[in-house]
Parts: sequence; C-alpha cells; structure tokens
Amino acid sequence: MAENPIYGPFFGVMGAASAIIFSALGAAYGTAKSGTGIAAMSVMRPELIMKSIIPVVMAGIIAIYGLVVAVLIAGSLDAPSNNYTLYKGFIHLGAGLAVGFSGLAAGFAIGIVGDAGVRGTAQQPRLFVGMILILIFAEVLGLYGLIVAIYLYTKQ
Amino acid sequence: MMIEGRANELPDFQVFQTVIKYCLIIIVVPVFSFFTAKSVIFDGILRLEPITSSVYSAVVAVVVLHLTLGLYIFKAYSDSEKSEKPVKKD
Repeated sequence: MAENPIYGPFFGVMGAASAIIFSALGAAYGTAKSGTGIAAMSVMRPELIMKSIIPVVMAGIIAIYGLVVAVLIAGSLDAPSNNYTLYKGFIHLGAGLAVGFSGLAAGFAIGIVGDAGVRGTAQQPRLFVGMILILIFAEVLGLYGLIVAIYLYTKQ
Repeated sequence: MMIEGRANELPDFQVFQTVIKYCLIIIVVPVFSFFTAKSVIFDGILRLEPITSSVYSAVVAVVVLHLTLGLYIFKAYSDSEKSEKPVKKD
C-alpha cells in the first residue's frame, strides 16, 4: 500500500476553513445590507422592527450551515500516517467549497432582498408575505450547498 | 405623528424581551440539539459510526434550526396582525 502524501490534510484543512470563511462572508454581507435597510426604515416605522429582523436572522443561519460543515470536516481531519488519504482531503475541500460558496451566494441574495424588502414593507405591509417567501428561496440556496457538502462528506 | 403611532404598538421593553428571547432560542437550541442528538441518541442508544452519527445530528440540528426560525416568523407575523397599524390623518 502506497504511503499517504504529506500534503493530503492541507486540502482537508482548506475545506474546513473555506466552509466557514465564505459562509461568514455571505452572512456578514446579508446582515450589513439588510441592517442598513432596517435602520433607514425604523426611523419612520419603529413598530415594524420585529418583523424586519427576519433577514438578519436568516443571514445568521447561513453562517450556521458553514459552521456545521466546518465542524464535521474538522472532526475527521487526521495526520497522513493515520490513514488520511489524498482522496479524503479532496472530498473535504469539495465539501467546504460547496457550502462556502453557496452560503456566499445565499448571503448576497438575502442582503439585497432584505434591504429592499424591509423598506418596501414599511410602505406596504402586505409585501411582508412576499418578502418572507423570497427570503426563504434565497435561504434554500445555502441549504442546497449544505446538502451537497454533507453528501460529499459521507463518501469516504 | 410618531407619538400617535406609539399608542397602538407594544412597549419597547416588551419587544426587546421578545426579540432577545427568540434570538437566544434560535442560537442555543440547534447547537444544543446537535450535541444532545449526537451523544445521547446516535452514539448512546443507536451506537452508530462517528461519521454517520455526526451527519444525522447535523441534519437534526438544521431541522430544529428551521423550526425555531418558523416559530419566530410566526410570532412576528401574529404580533403585528394583532396591533392595528396607525391610521393616517390628513
């Protein structure tokens, strides 16, 4: 049996790091963008703050997806001598990138939709249901990344 | 105009309490359920492999996360339905 290469765990570590880095990037953008919308809207309609926090919570959930995958990957990282093959490293890198970039995309979508949505809800409260639906569809993009990442993670 | 609007809404402190409570629930409960499901159910009772048990508990945590989020959305929606929005006067 061939010895496992020393650089195998590098890919796994990069997978764990990129999972949380890119998800947090998306979540931060979503929080900041919808936060500016909430701040602008609450000046005139402070009673809607509780409704308008929802995009911020959803952006936070994107970061939790990245956290879950990063914790899973970090749990099965090991030294090359303990049978950590290069294939496992690639699998972990792929899983991390899948959830990371999906989270980035979902965070961007949540931020832009949340900003426009809370500003619109302040003027037309019936928009709220539509905003929630659009936010859920944006959120599901990150969930797809999580599903693919977990599916990849189990292939070892 | 903003003072008139305040008559119909919940007191600030009550809103703050509700938001803090639900944010803590959304953050704490899924993390708690991940480790409980892993150590008690999947490792303790069912005795699965480490990778399988981690994956199942991750799925449990994500489902619980969405349930708590749904709870918050329901609360935010039903609260604002209750309080009539201020009527505009010309």
